[in-house]
Amino acid sequence: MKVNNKTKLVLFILIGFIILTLRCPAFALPPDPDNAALLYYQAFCVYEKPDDTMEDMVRRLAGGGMEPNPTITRYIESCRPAIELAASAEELSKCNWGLKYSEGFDMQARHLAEARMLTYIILADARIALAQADYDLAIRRCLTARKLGVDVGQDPMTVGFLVEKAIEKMTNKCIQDILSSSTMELETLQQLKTQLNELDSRIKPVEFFLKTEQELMSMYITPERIREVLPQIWSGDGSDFARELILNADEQFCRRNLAHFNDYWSYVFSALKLPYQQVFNKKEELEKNYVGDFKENPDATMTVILGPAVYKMYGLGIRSDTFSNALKTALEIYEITAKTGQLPDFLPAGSRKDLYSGEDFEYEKTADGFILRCRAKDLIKNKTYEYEFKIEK
Amino acid sequence: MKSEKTEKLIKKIDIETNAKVNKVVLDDVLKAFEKTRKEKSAEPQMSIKNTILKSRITKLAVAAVIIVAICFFFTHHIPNGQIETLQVTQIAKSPAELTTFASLTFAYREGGMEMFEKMCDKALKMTGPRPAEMSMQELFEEVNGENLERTEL
Repeated sequence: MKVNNKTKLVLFILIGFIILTLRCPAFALPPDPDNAALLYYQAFCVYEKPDDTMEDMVRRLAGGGMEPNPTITRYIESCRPAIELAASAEELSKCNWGLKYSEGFDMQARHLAEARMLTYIILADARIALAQADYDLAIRRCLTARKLGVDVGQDPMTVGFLVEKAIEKMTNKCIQDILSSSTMELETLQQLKTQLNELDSRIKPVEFFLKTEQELMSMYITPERIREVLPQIWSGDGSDFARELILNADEQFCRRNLAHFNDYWSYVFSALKLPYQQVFNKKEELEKNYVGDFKENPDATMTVILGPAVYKMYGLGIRSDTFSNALKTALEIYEITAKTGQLPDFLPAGSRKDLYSGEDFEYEKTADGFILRCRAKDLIKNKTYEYEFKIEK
Repeated sequence: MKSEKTEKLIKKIDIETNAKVNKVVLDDVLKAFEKTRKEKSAEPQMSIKNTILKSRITKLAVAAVIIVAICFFFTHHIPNGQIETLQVTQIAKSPAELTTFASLTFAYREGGMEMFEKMCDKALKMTGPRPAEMSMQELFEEVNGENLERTEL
């Protein structure tokens, strides 16, 4: 009898516990967002919009063009909630900006303008931390900005690719400056390298964006929608002729133009698989065969109007990726220096390549650090890049 | 001298007056005065108008003065920022139009990264700066349009 009562009591407690556990979610708060974009959108709303003077200062500070002063430090401090929201977004892997692709040309992409400004603010905060010798915070801020850039590039929109690359370039420059003015622990350097590799593994190739561009632009090469392109036509030579062609476009015109447009893309995608120098060798052929004079070949009209600046975009991607590769190579050199106490004589085996030449960077030791130099020119800018890093003694 | 003689002459005249006659005379005088005044004020206007219309050079000069005055008014009475906003709104009606896929894509195509970034900056500028701080009191005032005091329950 005694045992029975005990069992009843245990059962009673167990049932009570189960009921309590089941009811618990009813009292719990709703979960935090699992989409980084929602946190970024909140960040865009909460920071104080700077006036022209402040905006200029924020940009210069973020780019390393000026030292922090009390006025700008106060302003950045007022942006703290926005910076913290972006830092929270860093922890989320999913990022969906909720863009309405069905709107085509009219699709809103304001988040790109806002993301640029937020990046300036975050990197200005990194520069302030750097000036205060808080290197860990400075690096953390750079990674937050870098993650924002990667997240901007998760949507397959060519203009998103441009902003992603602009943010990547700015953060690379900031990390380069932090590495050059601090002595970091080996563990911090290794951690930074891992995090950069992790972020960069999520970066989409330029083809990812161009494919969407092809699909989106193709929507307009139909008799029903072709006239919607008219407001986008440039006001230069041949524009009146192009307008006339579009105004008189029939089904046959659209069909032939769409076929030409798709051929152009097939050529572009096959060319982009080649190494840098060879991609540029194909440029002339592409221009001659696909985006030539549409007065002679009306089938090329829509390709001339809607075809993107492929080479400029490709060049931007290569420029940015080469800088990232130089940064990661530099991190390996800093690691060796932290381990051995001196700069290595050669680049470590398997280090990242200079994408212009497809070879290792040229490595040169200097009095106060080292330089990583590209072995071939940027054919758009007609320039050979070099990246200087200093060693703080 | 002439006025002194007139005065003496008037003094010599022996006139009998009454109120009725005085009123009639006064009314006549006032009417005549009003008529003369209207005619006089109309005369110079007519002559200026005629001068402008008759001479070709004067017509041009007046047109130039009007144009300069209008330009002066707009440059001195509208702040620079407002002019910029006006120009921007002429290109695109709202900041939203500056940040559509088409606006940004074709901006890059036309003017590269520089043009693309300018479009982004303009879109942000058109929405203007937000206040640095806003107290709950100010927020209530802005929302309700009046100064509300906290209600005690």
